[in-house]
Amino acid sequence: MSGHELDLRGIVCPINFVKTKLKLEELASGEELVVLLDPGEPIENVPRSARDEGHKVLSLEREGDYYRVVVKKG
Amino acid sequence: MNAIDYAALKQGGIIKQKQPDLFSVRIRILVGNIAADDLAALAELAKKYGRGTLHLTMRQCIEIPYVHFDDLHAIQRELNELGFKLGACGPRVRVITACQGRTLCPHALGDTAKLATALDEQYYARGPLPHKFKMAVTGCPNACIKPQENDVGFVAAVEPGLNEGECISCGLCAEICPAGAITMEGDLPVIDRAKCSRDGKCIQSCPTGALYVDRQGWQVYAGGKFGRYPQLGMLLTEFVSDEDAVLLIGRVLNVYEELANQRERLGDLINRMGLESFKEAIDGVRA
Repeated sequence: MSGHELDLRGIVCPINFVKTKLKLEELASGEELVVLLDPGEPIENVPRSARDEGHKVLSLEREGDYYRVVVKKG
Repeated sequence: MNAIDYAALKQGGIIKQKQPDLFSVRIRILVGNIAADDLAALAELAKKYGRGTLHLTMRQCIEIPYVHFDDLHAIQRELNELGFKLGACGPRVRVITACQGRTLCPHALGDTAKLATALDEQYYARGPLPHKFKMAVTGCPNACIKPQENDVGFVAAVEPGLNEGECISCGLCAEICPAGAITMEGDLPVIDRAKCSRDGKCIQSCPTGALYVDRQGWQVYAGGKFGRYPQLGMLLTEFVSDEDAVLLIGRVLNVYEELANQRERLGDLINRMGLESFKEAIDGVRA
């Protein structure tokens, strides 16, 4: 696997964002993290919250019943 | 002792009970927020002058029931020293209610306490009016404080704008919009302004900040009431600022005082003259 990935399917708010935040802290600035998120609150909150903390959302795509989000560490 | 002037007492939030010589004392609480120490002080007054109970009202206030007529001056003096105002009753501007708003609610789009406080400072207890006059302020279209049940209700609202350069065409806004007002056309979201419910969900969830707050303010509903013949308020105007909201109420009250019959609620006046004529009257009067 070339990048970092976090499967947060089945993880509720705000634990999913806490896990995303902790994972991003391990990364160097500019590195990318793939996050898998459920529809509803998780996809409405986690990418926006990552942006609020200074990271950049590069893409957000639906893959069946979940979303694949690529976040670049700010 | 002179005869009890019940009407005079009721003006100031002192309400006659069915039991002889006993009164319920209504205390104004704004936005339903009260310091813990103040609540404890009210509890002490309830034990001293009442029967040790407090009553929570529909309009976020507190009443101390079972206060004897002979104690009314003493309890009023103590409430005054603690900085409380009594809760307005009768044909006047009642306590202004509000939800928690932006200070702590994740959904809220407006500072409800700020507007409620400004309205309170300017208009609280104004009267006598033709009838009671209630106002409520809510922080988003979820309308938790039920503003449309009030003579005038304020709902915080936002309308999105799109910064095309920031959009990554993810389509999340179109998927999550509760009103179904957004469709993806090509790579960009298109917003149907007529369908938009002004709740800002698209802006709040946009992962890149491409959607931003283009317009914001208060949607104003007028003519709502409950009681025996309930009706919901009608949309009077949109995207009003805090300052304009305060001025607007001055104009609404002036029109209400001038045109309404005795014991006619604002909603009944609007029903009688028609919403458009009412709007014209509002526009034609000074605050």
